[in-house]
Amino acid sequence: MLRSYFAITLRHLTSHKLYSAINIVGLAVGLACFILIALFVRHELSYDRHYANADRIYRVSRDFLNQNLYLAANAPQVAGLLKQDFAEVEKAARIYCCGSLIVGTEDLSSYERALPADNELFEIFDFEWLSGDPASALVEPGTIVLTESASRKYFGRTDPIGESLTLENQIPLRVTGVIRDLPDTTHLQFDMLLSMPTTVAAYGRSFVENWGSNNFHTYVLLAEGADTSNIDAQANSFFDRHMAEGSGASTRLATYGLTDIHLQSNRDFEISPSGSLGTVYAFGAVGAFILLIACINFMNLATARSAQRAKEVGVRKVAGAERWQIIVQFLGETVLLAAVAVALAVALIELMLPTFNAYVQQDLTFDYLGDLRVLGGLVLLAVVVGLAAGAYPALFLSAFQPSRVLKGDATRGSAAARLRRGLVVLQFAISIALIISTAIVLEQTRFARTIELGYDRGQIAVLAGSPTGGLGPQWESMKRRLLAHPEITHVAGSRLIPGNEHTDAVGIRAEGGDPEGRPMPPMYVDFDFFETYGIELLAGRTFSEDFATDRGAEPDEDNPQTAGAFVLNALAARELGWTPEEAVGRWFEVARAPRFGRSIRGSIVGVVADIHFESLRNAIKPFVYMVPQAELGGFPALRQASLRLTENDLGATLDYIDSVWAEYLPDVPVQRRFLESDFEALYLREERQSVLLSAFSALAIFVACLGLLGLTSYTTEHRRKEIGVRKVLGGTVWNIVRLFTGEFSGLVIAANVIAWPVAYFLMQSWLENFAYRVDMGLITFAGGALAALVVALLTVGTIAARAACAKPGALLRYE
Amino acid sequence: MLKLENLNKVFRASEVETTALNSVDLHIRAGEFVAIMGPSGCGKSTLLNIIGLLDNPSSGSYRFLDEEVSTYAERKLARLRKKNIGFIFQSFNLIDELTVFGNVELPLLYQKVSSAERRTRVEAMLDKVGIMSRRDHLPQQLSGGQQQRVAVARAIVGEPKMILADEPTGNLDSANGEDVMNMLVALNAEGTTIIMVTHSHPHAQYAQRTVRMLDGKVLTESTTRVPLAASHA
Repeated sequence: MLRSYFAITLRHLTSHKLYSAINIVGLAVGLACFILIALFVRHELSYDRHYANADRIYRVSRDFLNQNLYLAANAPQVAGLLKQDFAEVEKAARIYCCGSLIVGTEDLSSYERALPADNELFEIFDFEWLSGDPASALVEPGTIVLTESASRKYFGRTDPIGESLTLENQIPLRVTGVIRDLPDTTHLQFDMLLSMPTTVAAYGRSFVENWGSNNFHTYVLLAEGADTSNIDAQANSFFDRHMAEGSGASTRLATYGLTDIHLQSNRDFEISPSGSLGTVYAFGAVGAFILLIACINFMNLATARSAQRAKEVGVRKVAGAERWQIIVQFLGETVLLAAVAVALAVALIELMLPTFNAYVQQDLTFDYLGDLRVLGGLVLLAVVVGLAAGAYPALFLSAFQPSRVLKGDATRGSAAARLRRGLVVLQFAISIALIISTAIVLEQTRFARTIELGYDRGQIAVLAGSPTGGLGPQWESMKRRLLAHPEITHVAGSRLIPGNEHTDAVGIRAEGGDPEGRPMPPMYVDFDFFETYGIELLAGRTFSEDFATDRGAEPDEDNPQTAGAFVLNALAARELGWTPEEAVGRWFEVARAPRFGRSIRGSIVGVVADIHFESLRNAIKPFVYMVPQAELGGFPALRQASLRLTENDLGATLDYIDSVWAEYLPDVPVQRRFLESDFEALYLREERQSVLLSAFSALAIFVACLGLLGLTSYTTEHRRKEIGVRKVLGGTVWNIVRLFTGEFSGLVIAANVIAWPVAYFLMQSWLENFAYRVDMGLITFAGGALAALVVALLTVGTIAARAACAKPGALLRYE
Repeated sequence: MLKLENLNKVFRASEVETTALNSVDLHIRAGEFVAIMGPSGCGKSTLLNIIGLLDNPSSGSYRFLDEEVSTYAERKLARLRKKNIGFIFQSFNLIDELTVFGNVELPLLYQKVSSAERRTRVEAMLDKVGIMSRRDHLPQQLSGGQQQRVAVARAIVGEPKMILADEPTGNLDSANGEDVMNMLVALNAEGTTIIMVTHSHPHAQYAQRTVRMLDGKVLTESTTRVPLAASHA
């Protein structure tokens, strides 16, 4: 029985090569897209699941409600207090993040991601240890645990226990352990771990006692069967209890399951960049839709050509077949076809995977030969797709009545024809929605690139100093040396540069405002900052060395209130109730201790234009610019140097910069980059996603048109006699082309009715991620509709023209 | 074998109603060879379809092998048909993608006959109709006469009690037509009931009885010759 079915399926496929090809290629493309996206989705969903206790591990983060600030990390005291307060918390540990520190031996030193961590971390996360003892590795001060790569980098082997490294050129460290490199499917990413006592010894006890230092990523291991409901219930009262009465009103805890962090936690200062659940869903939907389009093709083609199989159905029924047997036969054919398509899809994926990986920035693998689960999944996919795509045609075809079909009356179903038309509309609705969405994503990306940022970012090189060393004690001298070079036109130091995330805030108050004050982000810059970046001055003046008080003096016990000068951005002035002109000359005060016990007070000397400091996803914030003393809180205030360069002789200029740096800061490796590339990185994710989306949209339309091609081929063949008659009666090729294209155009236009609202709602919610975004113009929607229409018309028109060009005699011959 | 009483068949397509059969009474005994004749559109094929359990009448009674089958569902009809009836068509209706062997084998596949037995029986049939040498050919590679012979083989491989032939010689030349008629007569001699729709008077003579129809009604019945085999009702 099976052999008979197999033989007949094979003969059927080969005797109708065009349709077989359309079916198989269309399905294969749909399957390839689906599988690629499935690989991506599976990867994104797999983060952090490989840890032994993954379902019992949680991260406890902190919210600042009054500042609308949601941090990934927490205050240093929280971990210990959680263990104390909640019986279900078995273990608690912290990782301090983030920042790069200089680590090295005598021969080699560089910036490494060396994070201070509690030893208890190893009782929560079961890293794979290559050497050393997890029970004691990070207990003592001056100890460090390396990853395998770091160990090989500095020592050429994986068991350098007892070997020495230096931290920030000052602090001696002893290697106490090496762990296997972390896979990319974990949100924890570091090169090395320092013991917490090391940093306490270096920075002082205040390092772990400051409720305002919320950089400690806090992880807890709960008892078997426990959850975080208890902790969540006390999220606010926890702070009332431990920090200060009433503080729970403005700050609280927030818990995340370990495996939820990567996709669902998108807070400030994550250890590693989050994925996006929205993106995963979006791509998942796109993959499913493309497969749907391919399956619809199959259904439509099979039912359209049903007349060809009708006789066979009739004969089989007469020979004794029951309906279910015919259904099984046709389903078997479809599954076989799907299997061939899957095989072809696998080949396509092999071709497409490297490029896909480049765009999603992952290293996805497709191990269908080695991994049984993948192979099993492919087989299952073939069966499911075969059954899904073949179910309707099988039911349709098996319903043919022998009494009619054997007489040659194989016409059926205006109902079937209506369904086919409906399915074509659905296919094109999906495709048009995809095109419109892609166009909007591209527009937003282009908008982000070309928007007026308020400063000039071209040709700015940025040098970054280390967190402890900053730009060094001889910054002023180094600056003059740099400016001596003819191709370096401006040099400015600052703590942050455009593109950095900005979450600090200081308390401020101003003339005519609330005496309690309000928080505002500070921007520590030196005198040439505004000129270097070309930021427009709206009123007053910028900082100048001619005025002694422009550099704000830090208050202390003897001088609780010191003098300073401030420049605001336009938004800050506006929020305080002034135009730029009105703001100049008003008094302004920055707190250095709670309730302005110590503060810097002076007047607003100027107002500058707002600039987009962070990515367009974030709204512009009000800033107060200040020129700080050389040190703030014991560490250098200025950490990054911005240099504006000409375009001449760039290579030589960069060499000069590097050599000057090496001269002044010989122990600090050069970290130099261009602001332009930082900028690119900000939008990289969007850029790549938009490219991918474009590719998938194109594929969706391709598959839909493949179906249209098949349907049109079939229709023109079926209506061969009609075409012949029309030509004999005087119809031209053009008339006939118009006849066919007119019918299909109607369907494509109808598809817009579905596509436009869907695209609108989807893009509306995506654009809400951006504080600054494009408008969704009618032109974009109309453009999408037009693109689909043109492609469809070309497809249908070409086939119709070819059919219409045949001689009438040939068309009518088979009478 | 079968008995039709007051049988009616009405076709409805959109708003048009066509009465294909109008109060037909017919009684056919086992072992008979009956020819049904009449002009185009008189309802012959419809009658054959109903007799062949390919369709239900709109009203009236149809007793087949002592069972009232007029209201049977598709499934029951199929089962009854499978075991008892073979069909031969004017346009042969072979499956183009199957070989001669595959076509003849088809009814046995649906009767779940074992592979070995299938082979034996099919080969016997092919031999009987004289087409053994072409067993691996496809229908497109055969002449009309050869194709009809394959169709006959297919119709009888299941050893049905009755064979229905709808203008079996309509697409054949006279020589091949004669061959087919002789095959039918031989089958009838072995005891198979044969009901044949035909336009050809000479071919109708091969039957024992001719039923004439017009506009959905049976007009006349006439006997042409004595039955060759014993009959029982």
